[in-house]
Amino acid sequence: MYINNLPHYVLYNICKYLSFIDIINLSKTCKQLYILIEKDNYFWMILIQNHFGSKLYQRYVNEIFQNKKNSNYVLYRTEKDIRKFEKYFRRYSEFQMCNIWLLNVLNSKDNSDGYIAHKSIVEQNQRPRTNELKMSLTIEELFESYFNKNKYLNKENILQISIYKLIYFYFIESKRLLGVDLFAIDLSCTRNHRHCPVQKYLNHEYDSNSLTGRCVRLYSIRSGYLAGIKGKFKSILPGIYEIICRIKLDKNNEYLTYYNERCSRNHALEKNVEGYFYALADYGLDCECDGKKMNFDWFESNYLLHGNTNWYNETMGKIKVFELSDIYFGFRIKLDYGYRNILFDYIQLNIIE
Amino acid sequence: MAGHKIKLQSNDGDIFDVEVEIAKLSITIKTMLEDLSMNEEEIIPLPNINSAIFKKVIQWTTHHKDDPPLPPEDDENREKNTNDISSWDQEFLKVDQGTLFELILAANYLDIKGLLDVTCTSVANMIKGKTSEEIRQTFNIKNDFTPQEEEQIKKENEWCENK
Repeated sequence: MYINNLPHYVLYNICKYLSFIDIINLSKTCKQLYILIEKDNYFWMILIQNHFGSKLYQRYVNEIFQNKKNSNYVLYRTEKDIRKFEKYFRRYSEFQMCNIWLLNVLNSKDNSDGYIAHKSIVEQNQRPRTNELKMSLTIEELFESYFNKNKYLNKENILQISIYKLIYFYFIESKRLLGVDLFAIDLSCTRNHRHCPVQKYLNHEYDSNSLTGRCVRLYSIRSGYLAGIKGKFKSILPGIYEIICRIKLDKNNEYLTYYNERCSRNHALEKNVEGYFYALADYGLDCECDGKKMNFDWFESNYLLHGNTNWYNETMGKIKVFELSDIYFGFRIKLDYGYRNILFDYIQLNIIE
Repeated sequence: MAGHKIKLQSNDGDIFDVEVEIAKLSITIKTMLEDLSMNEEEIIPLPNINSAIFKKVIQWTTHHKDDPPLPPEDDENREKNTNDISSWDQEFLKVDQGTLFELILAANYLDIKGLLDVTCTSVANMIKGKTSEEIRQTFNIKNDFTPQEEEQIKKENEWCENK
């Protein structure tokens, strides 16, 4: 009796306990297992069910490719629409552009990348937010998302792969952006737009407990009146994602002095603490995390828990994506954080539904 | 009634007296007794299982007869797909590969979920973290790919193996 003689059902059951790479290695041992694993949609469907539960299974195996596009989908993607968007932005002077938070997050100062997301947001403000849109995806979009990210795949060889394997791989693939790869938002552009760098990185700091050994610091000082970072996840498939930031809190002396000066003059300032996180998708419901959550109490209680030595995962909230989207996000702390700083390691999306 | 026994016959003719409560851990036998309302004096044949394997199955079910029933597999306990095996089960599963596979087939046929889970986990643990060549050695699998085919498969998987 050999392992490759076991009935398929039993092999599915064994693979339930294996990681993706273990399964690929198993498929390379002999023809029989190769055919079972690589040439059978059903194998990957079962794995999706086993590893991600019935909700995601339902959504990706039974529904998503059947659902129709939402009515305004095509409208957003035409050339005409891009031009309209650009025209809309030309209303602003460059100085204004630089100081508008949302446009900075969308990176639309220099290109029309964020036009779909911007349009979604504008529409969302006009109409009530709705959960009623159906998530939808076409096979072509699934392929497109892979072409955008994976240099090994092309229009020919992707057809050889089971689409359920592509979906499974998408689920397990880490969707993570490192702080050190992100750009800074500095809303302190001067009147004539001089000294305003196009893309600016925040300074990196060494921290041996961060993922890559380096992280970035969100802080505010007198001259930089609002500091933040922004980033973009490319080609995110429909679903509900949890947004996790790995952060560390810090109160340091350099800023303490500055803070004390101010506080002695105005005691109300002490509690005036506010962080702001915002994420939005081209087609989706945004995720906002404002001063109601990231306030003085939030900072102090987490500081008590984790101190200034421990990194921890802060869940920013959930974002719902209806159709293939880029996700933009911005994270900043306000001036009155004073000596309270946030160190940022990475941001990650976890698909949950 | 506690201690009440039924007779089960393996495919090599041996007859086993097994307590009803233990036998009923097998959904297959439970269904036979309840739905087919088989006479309790009747000998139930198990055409897919030999004596040696059936003895092991009885040993396992006897030890696990008081386990709480496994929760249905839904989203909440999906996360608990762990690869941990209790020390008693580890000792129990110290058998040759042939026996292990036979046990899996028996658990599958008799529909004893707990035994199927633990035996499959045990096989999975033998695969984990190994290269294809190491898996072949572990399970005596003959490599029937030509070098060209191997090259081809390596290429096919580039997209998900190289970062």
